[in-house]
Amino acid sequence: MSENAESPTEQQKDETSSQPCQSEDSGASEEKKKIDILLKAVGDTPIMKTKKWAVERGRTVQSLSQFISRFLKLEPSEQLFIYVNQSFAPSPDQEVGVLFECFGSDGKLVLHYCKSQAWG
Amino acid sequence: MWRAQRNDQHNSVKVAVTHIATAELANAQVKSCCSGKGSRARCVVSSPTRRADNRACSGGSGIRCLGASAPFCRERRRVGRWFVNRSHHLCVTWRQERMADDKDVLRDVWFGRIPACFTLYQDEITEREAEPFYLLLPRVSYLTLVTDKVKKHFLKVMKAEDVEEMWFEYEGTPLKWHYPIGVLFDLHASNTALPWSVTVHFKNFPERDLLHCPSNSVIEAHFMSSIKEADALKHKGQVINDMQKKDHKQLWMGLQNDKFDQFWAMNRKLMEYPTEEGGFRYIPFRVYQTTSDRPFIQRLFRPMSQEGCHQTLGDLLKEVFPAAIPQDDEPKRYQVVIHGIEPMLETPIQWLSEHLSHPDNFLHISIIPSPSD
Repeated sequence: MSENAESPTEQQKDETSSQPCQSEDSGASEEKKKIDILLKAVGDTPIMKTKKWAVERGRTVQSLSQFISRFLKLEPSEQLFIYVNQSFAPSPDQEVGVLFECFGSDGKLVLHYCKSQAWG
Repeated sequence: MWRAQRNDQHNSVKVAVTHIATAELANAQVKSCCSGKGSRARCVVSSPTRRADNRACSGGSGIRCLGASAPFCRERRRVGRWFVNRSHHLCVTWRQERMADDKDVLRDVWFGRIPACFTLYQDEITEREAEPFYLLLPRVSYLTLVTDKVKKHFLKVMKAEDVEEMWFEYEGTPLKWHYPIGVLFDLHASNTALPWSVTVHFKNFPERDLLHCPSNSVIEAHFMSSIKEADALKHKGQVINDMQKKDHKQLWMGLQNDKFDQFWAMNRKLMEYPTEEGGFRYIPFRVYQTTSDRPFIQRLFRPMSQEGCHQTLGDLLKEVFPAAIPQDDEPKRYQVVIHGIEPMLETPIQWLSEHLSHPDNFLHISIIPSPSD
């Protein structure tokens, strides 16, 4: 997948610590607790300047989705759909760590997000 | 009587508690299935007469015989046997022509029912007394998909302004509608008396514990996503992606309308795999436990070992939940339950995946503490 090649990690400064931290160097100690997630926009959904994030394994899809919605400053009425493998929407209470184990590749999990239903 | 009720769509028959004992007898619990090495398929059906109060009636899985033919017996049907031992186990020897087909297992899994009694939460405001509502719940379905009648029943005694989204709870635990009903029962209510006593709420939706379910299309989306996720594990998603929209619809309509044949005509494609590979790429499974905050365990697990042997349920547990494997020198700590039964740990995981998966194509495994007595 050539898509995986693009992902220069960008700096993100003004985020609070409760949010996923921008993934620069995931040190060995961090490695177990956090995983790298690459977020890609679909269709006309706004892109995120920072695409790659280090996220705690136990974080749920729902909480990640809320984070993206806030980050993109979506209206409360706007929905956000998250997809794995560009095919299925994981259950909101699913842990991203599980998705990483099962569907991650090259040390990261690629998730697509979209304001409308993109697949299925 | 049990069979007669099965024919009713969704089995929304009111069941008197006295009838349930009859149902229990018809639903002898299969204690174990399918020998690991394929020397013979073996079934042990525990007699329900002695333990009709608990495990024997564990939600009416209705499975008579499992492991009639594990994958390795497919070409050459073997002679298996049931046997009676002193602890009231039943024994039957069958021959090739009598042997139960695996399709019977699929059918029995599909038509597994749990008798449930729905009661309105005491603090809900009603205009008159709310009678409890009895329902046979399909194990493989979802709570919010089969409880329209429950809702209607309670709305009759309530004012519209006192009604918000309906949700269910069992002994203080909110029940997640997006888990199959059988999983909820096995996980939270195994080893308790039937009917399963579920409390109905119309207020104070527990946002932190439950997902909203405003319509059946939400259930459909969840169900189809699970199937796609499972197929991503089994076939890199190739089978489900090759299907057309109407094929996807057929899977959903099959579940929604409780049409076994309609569902399986399509689902069998999702159960295929190249013969030379001996199984799926990975087994879609989820391991649930009540003692953990984590929703479930899910990992990559291949049905065949590197040496080309069939991996078993025990092999899988060794990897993801070793404590569930009984040690010789200590009492059994956990029960490993799928569809209300405890399959033998020697059962090949591929066979389980093909036959005991839920319609969402995941093998849902509940690990519950052994009853103390």
